[in-house]
Amino acid sequence: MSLTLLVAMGVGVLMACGIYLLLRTRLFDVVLGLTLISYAVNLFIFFMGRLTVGKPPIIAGSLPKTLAHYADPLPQALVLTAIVISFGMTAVLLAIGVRAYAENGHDHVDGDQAP
Amino acid sequence: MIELVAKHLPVLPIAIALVAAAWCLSVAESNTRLQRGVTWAALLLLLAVALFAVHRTARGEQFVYLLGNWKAPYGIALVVDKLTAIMLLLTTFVGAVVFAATNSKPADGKPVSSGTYFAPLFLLQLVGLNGAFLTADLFNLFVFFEVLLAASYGMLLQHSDQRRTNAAIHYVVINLVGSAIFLIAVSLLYGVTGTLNMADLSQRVSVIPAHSQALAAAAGFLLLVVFAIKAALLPLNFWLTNTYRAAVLPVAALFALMTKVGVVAIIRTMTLIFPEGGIINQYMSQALLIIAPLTLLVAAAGALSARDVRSLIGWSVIASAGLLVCAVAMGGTMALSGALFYLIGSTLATALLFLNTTAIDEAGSRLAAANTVPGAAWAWTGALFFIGAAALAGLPPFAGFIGKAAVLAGSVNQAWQVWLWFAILGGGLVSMLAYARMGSRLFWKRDAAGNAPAYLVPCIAVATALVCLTVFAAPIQRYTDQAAVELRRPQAMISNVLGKLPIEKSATQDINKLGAPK
Repeated sequence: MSLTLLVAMGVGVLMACGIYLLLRTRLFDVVLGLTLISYAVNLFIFFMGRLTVGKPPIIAGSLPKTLAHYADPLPQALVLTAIVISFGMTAVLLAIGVRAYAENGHDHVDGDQAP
Repeated sequence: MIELVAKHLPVLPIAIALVAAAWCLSVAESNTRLQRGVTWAALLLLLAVALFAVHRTARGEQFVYLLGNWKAPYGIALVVDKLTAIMLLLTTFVGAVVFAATNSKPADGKPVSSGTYFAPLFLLQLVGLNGAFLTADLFNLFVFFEVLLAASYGMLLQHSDQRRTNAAIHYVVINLVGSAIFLIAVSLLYGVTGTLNMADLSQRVSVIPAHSQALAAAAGFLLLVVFAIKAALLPLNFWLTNTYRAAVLPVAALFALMTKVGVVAIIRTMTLIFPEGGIINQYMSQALLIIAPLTLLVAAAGALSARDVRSLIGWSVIASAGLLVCAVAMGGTMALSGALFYLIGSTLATALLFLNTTAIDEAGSRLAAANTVPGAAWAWTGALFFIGAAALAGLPPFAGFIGKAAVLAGSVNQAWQVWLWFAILGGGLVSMLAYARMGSRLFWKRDAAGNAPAYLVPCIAVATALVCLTVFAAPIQRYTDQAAVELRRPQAMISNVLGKLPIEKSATQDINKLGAPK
């Protein structure tokens, strides 16, 4: 129980920090915020397979083949996809951000006004 | 041959575009002729496949495809039903028209398709759109959303300048936030039900134990929030006008399809995942019956306040999404059928307006330079603007009217009837005023120096399609009626998806593959 609470609070704190940074006017902060949010989301997906300790996600020879003896492998596969996609998207955003910085001379998210 | 196509029908719209995109990437970037040829070939094939899908689904068939030959709730299933077939045809048609426009050379400068990696990005956009319409798996829907978004970021940044870069930042950030919410919703639903297949979800959501009911409802509403971002419903619509204003015009015409992806996803959510009769569906339709008409009204006000043609069209894209979601929230066969009809008409009308706006934009920048008498060519531009505006506002000779009338008829005797009629009719009137004002400002000036329509052939193709939509309204409406009936009875689709058996490999085939001992 206490582990679940700790994990939930961890996800919550990450998300809250991410939202705070997302709402700031500098693009650098926004990118950091999005990164934190994607961490929170990835952890959340992972924990949706329930928290288990010491259980394999794939069928091992000796264990009986019932769900009680295994960790859910699907969220682990989902989280892998989500990590790759959020990594790629953050890279795209950074590339656009660097370009905007070069064109505007500052990294205010609206571009047309100095911070 | 026909049977082979029918067997692999659901995967073809994705595979064709994906292969073509990879091919375009592999040839030298300077070899635009080959890239164009490959893209046209892919578009023609896609058009043939979409027509085939419409033809076969009209006979009442549904196609289920198990990717990787895994049985349904475990693997990803693709489904072609009537709604999917309509959307595939619409996507391919608008895609072909937009691609033709991007290839034609404007009066000054290079064709739009000369931009960086234009052809592969365009094809990937089609992959994402088609995939999002086809998939019956929630996580796969997320992946296809990302594909189409990633391609649209590239398309938005074509021929980029400072304004486009700044608009792209807002667009990318809001969509990344949307993706994060989507992931939370998907994993929450998985945590509650243990499945991601929409057909399986539909069954399990109805038997959720009471203590997880609230979690499932929260996940459902988070999904709605994501789709509302895509469809640009009221509190989440502010990204749209800026983005569409910044995009290169033929590309903006393609973007008009992307709000429709959001609408179709909402239709799937409210007919398949949380079907009619469930308590969550009731909550959703009540929320949407407030939000969607408000979207319609605010968008009409926005259209009235728009100073340039592009934001005017942007606001009417929002208005049409509002009307569609109104109809979906109402439920009912008639309203849904009308919504599908209006969806086709409004997408075509928006595409026409965006394509035609190129001529208007150029005229605007030249007004000061030369004072020529408005010629016959400018009258053509005006005529196309008028057709697009009338079709979008839903004036009687054009197709939008039929869809709107069906939606209004579907709302009779609903609890919300007065509010809905006020929003739909009032919104239509105000946006008509906005177009009338914009049209008279642009085309009735004595000193207006006009341009011929920039993309005459694509524009006329879309206008013809709009006219055909009215002329052949009866068979098309029969089809949308059947599609609505099919959507309201998800049981058939559920049993089709879950009952689809993987292809059995015969023992002899296995031995052949392994290589028989000599």
